[in-house]
Amino acid sequence: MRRAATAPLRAEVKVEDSDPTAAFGSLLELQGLRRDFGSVRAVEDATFEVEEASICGLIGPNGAGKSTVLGLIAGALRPSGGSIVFAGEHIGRLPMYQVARRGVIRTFQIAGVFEQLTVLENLLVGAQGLRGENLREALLGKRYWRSDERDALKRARGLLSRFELGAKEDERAGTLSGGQKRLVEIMRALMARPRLLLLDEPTAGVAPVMVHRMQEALTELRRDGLSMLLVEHSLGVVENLCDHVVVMAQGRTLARGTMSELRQRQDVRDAYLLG
Amino acid sequence: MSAATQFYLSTILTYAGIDVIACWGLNLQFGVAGILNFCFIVFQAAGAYTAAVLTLGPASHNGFQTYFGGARLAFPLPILAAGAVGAILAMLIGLVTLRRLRRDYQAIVMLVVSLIATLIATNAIGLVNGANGLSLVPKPLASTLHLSPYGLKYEWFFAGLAVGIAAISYFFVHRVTSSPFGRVLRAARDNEQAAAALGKNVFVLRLAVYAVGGALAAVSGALLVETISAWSPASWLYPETFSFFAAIVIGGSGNNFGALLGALLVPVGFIEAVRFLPQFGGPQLIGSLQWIVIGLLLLAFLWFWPRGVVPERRRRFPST
Repeated sequence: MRRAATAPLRAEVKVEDSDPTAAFGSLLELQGLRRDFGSVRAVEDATFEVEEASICGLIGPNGAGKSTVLGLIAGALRPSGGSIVFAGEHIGRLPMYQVARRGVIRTFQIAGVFEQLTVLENLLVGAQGLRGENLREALLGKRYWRSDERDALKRARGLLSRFELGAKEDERAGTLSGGQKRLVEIMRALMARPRLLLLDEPTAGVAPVMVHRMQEALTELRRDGLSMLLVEHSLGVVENLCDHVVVMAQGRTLARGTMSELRQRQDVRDAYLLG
Repeated sequence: MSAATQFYLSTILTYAGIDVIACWGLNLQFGVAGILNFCFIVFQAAGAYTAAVLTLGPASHNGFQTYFGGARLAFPLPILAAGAVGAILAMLIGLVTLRRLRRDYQAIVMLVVSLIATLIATNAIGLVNGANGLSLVPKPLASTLHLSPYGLKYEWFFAGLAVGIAAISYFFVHRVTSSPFGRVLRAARDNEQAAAALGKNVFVLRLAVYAVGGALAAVSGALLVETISAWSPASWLYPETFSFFAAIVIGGSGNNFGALLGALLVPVGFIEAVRFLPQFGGPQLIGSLQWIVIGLLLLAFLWFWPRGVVPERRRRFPST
């Protein structure tokens, strides 16, 4: 496989130093998480952990509640019960933007790019703490925020080069292919320098060669200390990437282990692997 | 150039300045931030009433018009006060509508706000003189400059004032749209969830730009009342909002020059210029035809050229 002649991903995506409280345990802990939509219980009891600098896979049949769990962690949905603890802090009641500011960044099942913005602008929106992003700072003028933007531009172009989308930086994101949109979404998430990346089916619709590149990049990020929770239907990708895997079925956590361990379990095979 | 032609041109220039300010305000709210502000005209009206009562002086007990909070402030205080009232009103309406409601429901609520505001202004006589509205609003700086408020020289002065205030408005509008703040607003317009998932407090950002748009609309209303010297509920019925929306859509939503062009084409070039056409048909015919043609133009652009004559431009960045 060709490798882009660029600096390591670490140079563009600086993973924030770990929280000392999380150094001895899990970065994310879900305990008895529940979510009802009216009389329908979408998530009954999700209980699992994501450790520091690891990739945790979340698999299960359609309707198992995987994407709902991702939405609950990201703050898009409020839990009906249970707890979500991130780096020692309960985040279950926080709005989405507050969860994101704590370092939990998600991607969406259907790539959520900003269609009218260029690819480069999409990535710049991902940057955190940029000066000029509120009214007062905007009115202070370019001199006030130009240096921050210049730094963010440099990082964004590094990522685009790494994912071989540099030629597309001035294209409107809405004109890209489905796979390219997914890559833009992942790069944009990385611009936020997350501590925990929530990936909702990142390889869906992505060309095989780019899936390989994406896996390589995610492995590199994990090595650099980034934690990830990956909802993915391609078991090959899950097997290649994930340190451990959580299986959900009918809104409950069914099992946890490595893919080879899970393949041995009859209940998992019944629920998912053998359909 | 004849006096009549000069009067015509100065009037058009005054309306151009006023409508361009209003269209930049709506472009910030709708074109940049994606807020379907169907009560936009309320902000213009609030600015007009504020400037009028702060110029007229205290209402007399035996006077022909009654209103609340009258004062006689010197220029430019009534205009600045109008801008402040527009911003505060936008914050109040925004706090209710922008926080929890989906975008289409926001539009419905804002349209209802527009209807309620007209009813209140019409029926609460003591507030701004009811359906008769306010009249004989003094023209700013006429006595200071020793000019006849109805003379040609004053008309040109006021046209210059309107264009000057439009230029100042552009300074602020450009700073907003060219900044990272403008970029985040456009991002949230395209995908609110994704912007929030990147740590952006979409509600606060939208509330801020809603207030700026409200202030600009109010300033345009203040200038309008100071040039026509009268203001009543019939001046700001809810369809007026849609002439501004038509301007933004036709000119180019999300583009400041598109909004300027739209203002020149629709509220100025179309509505104001038509006033000078010879009368034909019944007395209401031209007015009714204006709205029909504006509606058809709006539909045609939304269908065939939704990005307008000057579409939102792609931002390109210098190499680093």
